[in-house]
Amino acid sequence: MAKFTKNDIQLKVEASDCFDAIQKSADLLIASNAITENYVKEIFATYKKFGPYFVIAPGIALAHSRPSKSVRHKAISLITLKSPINFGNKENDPVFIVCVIASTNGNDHIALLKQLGQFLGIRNNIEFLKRAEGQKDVCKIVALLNKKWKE
Amino acid sequence: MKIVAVCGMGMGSSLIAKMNIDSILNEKGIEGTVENCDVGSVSGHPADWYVATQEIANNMPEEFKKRTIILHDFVNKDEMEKELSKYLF
Repeated sequence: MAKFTKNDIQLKVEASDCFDAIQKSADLLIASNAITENYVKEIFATYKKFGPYFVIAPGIALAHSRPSKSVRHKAISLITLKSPINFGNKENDPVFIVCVIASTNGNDHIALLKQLGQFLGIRNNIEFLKRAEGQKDVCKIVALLNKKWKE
Repeated sequence: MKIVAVCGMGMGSSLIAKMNIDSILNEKGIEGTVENCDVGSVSGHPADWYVATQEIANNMPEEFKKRTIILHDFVNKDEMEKELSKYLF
């Protein structure tokens, strides 16, 4: 089963703008060898093409590009920002949760994405993310992300 | 009823939207199929309704725009249900 690990999560990250925020979230996946630096460039290109549509709910950005050779294995990172940042999405700014999604084939990330979607769909979890900090909270978030929700 | 959730790449937000709409239809006992795709290939996905965020909706083919429901929240099922109910049930 696909699982999140504590290496996929970082809390209260400082970022200067939306590109820096995406970079810092992607850095976790670079460190775990899931993606190469080039995937971040591909995400920025996607952003420039479509705009900030990937800010899919108030405060939440799901940044990604297409499967490519810059993706070594499926993975999803999640960071929270110390200070929320505007991504240019009128409805859902400012953003304080930045996820980066990587898939090698457009399908292998689905199980992880489903877990993420269910986690983010619960308002209490969003409230918890707002105040979460430190390793203990990282572990709690990993446990919540890996929880088996009822269908 | 067929609904297609649309996003820029067809693998991130539209997939989360699809999962949530599936679950909303299921809870309400409404029969329907939900697919997802990227905005570039949407013309190959005929449907009764399309669901997209604002930026993507602006890029939808003209003939689909009237059937496109714009959602600002793709993760919170209650918010999605409230918005979808205006059109679907």
